Amino acid sequence: MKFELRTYPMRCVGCLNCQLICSFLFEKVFNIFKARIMIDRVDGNSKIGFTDKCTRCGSCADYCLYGALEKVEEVIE
Amino acid sequence: MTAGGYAGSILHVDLTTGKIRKEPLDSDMARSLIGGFGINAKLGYDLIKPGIDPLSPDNKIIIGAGPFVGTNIPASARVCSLTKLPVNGAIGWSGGAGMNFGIMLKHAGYDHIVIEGRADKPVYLRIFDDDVEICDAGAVWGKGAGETVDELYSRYGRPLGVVSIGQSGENLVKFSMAFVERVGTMGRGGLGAVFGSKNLKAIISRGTKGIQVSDRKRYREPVDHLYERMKGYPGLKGAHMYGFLNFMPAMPREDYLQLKKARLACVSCPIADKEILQIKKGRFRGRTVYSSAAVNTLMSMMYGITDDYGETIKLSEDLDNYGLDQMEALELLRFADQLYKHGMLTENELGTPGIEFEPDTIADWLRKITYREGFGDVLADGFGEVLKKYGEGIEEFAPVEVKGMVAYQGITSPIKADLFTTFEFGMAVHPKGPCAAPGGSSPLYFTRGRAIDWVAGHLDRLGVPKDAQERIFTPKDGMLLNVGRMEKYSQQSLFIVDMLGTCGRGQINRFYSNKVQAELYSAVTGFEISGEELMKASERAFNLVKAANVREGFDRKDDRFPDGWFGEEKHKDYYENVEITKEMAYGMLDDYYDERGWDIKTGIPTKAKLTELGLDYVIADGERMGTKYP
Repeated sequence: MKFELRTYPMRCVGCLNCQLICSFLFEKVFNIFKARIMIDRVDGNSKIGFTDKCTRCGSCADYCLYGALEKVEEVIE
Repeated sequence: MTAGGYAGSILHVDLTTGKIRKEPLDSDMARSLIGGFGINAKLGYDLIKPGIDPLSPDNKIIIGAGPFVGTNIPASARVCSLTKLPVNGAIGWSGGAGMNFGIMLKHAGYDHIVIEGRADKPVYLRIFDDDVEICDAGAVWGKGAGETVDELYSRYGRPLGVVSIGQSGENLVKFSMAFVERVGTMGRGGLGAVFGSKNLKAIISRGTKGIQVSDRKRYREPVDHLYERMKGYPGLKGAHMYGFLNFMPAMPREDYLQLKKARLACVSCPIADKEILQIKKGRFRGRTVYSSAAVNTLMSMMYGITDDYGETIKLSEDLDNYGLDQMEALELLRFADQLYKHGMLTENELGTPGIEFEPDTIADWLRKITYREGFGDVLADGFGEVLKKYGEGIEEFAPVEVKGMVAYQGITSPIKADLFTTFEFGMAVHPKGPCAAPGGSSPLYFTRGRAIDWVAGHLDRLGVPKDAQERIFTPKDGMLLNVGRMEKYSQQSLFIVDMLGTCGRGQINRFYSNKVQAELYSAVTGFEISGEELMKASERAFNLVKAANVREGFDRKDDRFPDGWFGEEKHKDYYENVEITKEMAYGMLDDYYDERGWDIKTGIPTKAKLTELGLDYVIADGERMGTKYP
């Protein structure tokens, strides 16, 4: 399944759970540099971006406890 | 060693010779001591030779991150340190918020770092995967702990793990600490000064290797269950909005919301209790300040220095940036003022007519302590040394001190507490000196007066055996709950947390029962373990640290309660039935030793206990070096 993902950078606290679960599911290793979602956090401000490899599976949103990522609706292709 | 959760290596760095060496992590050591605090304990016992000067090149800085650090197990970012503490000569453990440092260290390929020697000029240690380098710290020496982080971020970019010290560490202030990315305190008792004595300003980490788990399928179920439970935790939304104030309402929420700029989380944390505050009024208007928790910035208010948020937050920033332990610094200043007021310190010695507890004067004194100017140089050596010089005839205003440090929570302590729980008891018996953290595993303070059945349920969750529970709940001196006996299990539970690498906050470890911890450890590492064995490993590690302190000469005489706790105002027991007298407290100390299987007379481990824990080499070392275990 693919989802449209909405991001709310103001709610992000930099816990990197999204990057950890992404790399674990797709690369079988916890490694934030292998994630398909990237959090760039400077002085309390976050930028949330996705790489071209992102499949919009929505797992990052499932593991975000802060509401910074949201699965809006399933995308049917 | 290759096992899930572990990076598999210990990094050894000798700053005198510049030699850097990578040693494989021993699988037997990992199985018997788990990691983090446990392996730190073994490394400390083996490598820190008894009797050395804490500020000499012989001392070691040992930093470890347990097998959960680097995974997505919620709130698993904790790092912990071990060193011989300058403030009192104890072998002192300290846990700290890991922020990014722990995960970046693990992902770079290291579970532990051991640093010894002394560099011939200021340096910092850069750990980027296999590329490890001792770098010139000329540009950051002399800067604050936070300013150093900013400088290293601008040089290397982010994400980056950083442990740094402030100027107080450089100047060997004996109660200076190290800071993890400016908001995680580590090393109460002088880890900062040990860094300074080695000319070590900072350690930075970045890792691109990652961490694997042994059984991915088995791992998912308990971890996903934890996430679901945390999502449903009633305190979660409040924590996100108000941080730690949600659990400890030290200031009105509307005032806090005015100051809050952003929340900060350690990697994988569900509550994000670190923060950036912005001062909105007064002469520091507009200033942004990083904090381990807003509640901690209120210390100057508690000391009556100011009632203005901007002033107290700025003083807190000064304390953190200098790298000072705020409790020690402010309590030492209060004591110095009392010495002057009682005619035991002259204006000439102090340099001023008393110490006025107002912001500018205190800010100036913090600078004097940090740079060891005037009487600040005396105070910089901490309570142990100060009391050697000025400890006679001070009964009327004696500091609440144990083992050379402030027993900061208790009936007459800076953090006033009216119940005698594992928090307060822990101040007296922790081998390194006052440390309330182990009390955090027993929630007595947040749950006052709950029924015995509820407490028993909690002890079941911690994995406390039924026979021990019977002893804990055997009434004594009018108390229905024996805190002395309970302390052993509180300490061990907290140390399991530090062995694995999860957060020590009660709001987090409430989710981790002993069984859940064991199941997660088995799934992550592939080393099958039961909750009981995990508890035994924690006991083994604790006894190792205790033995390291016995070797340094610590025994029952050092495990004492501040006399001030037994004055007119006294603690009450958990059910508020009786007041705790000195005799009752020391009776519980006997019970604590008995529960631990230690000798009641001397307060040190018995041979039988050491043998039971597989620590016969400690007995043999003792016989060789003149320490007799009863």
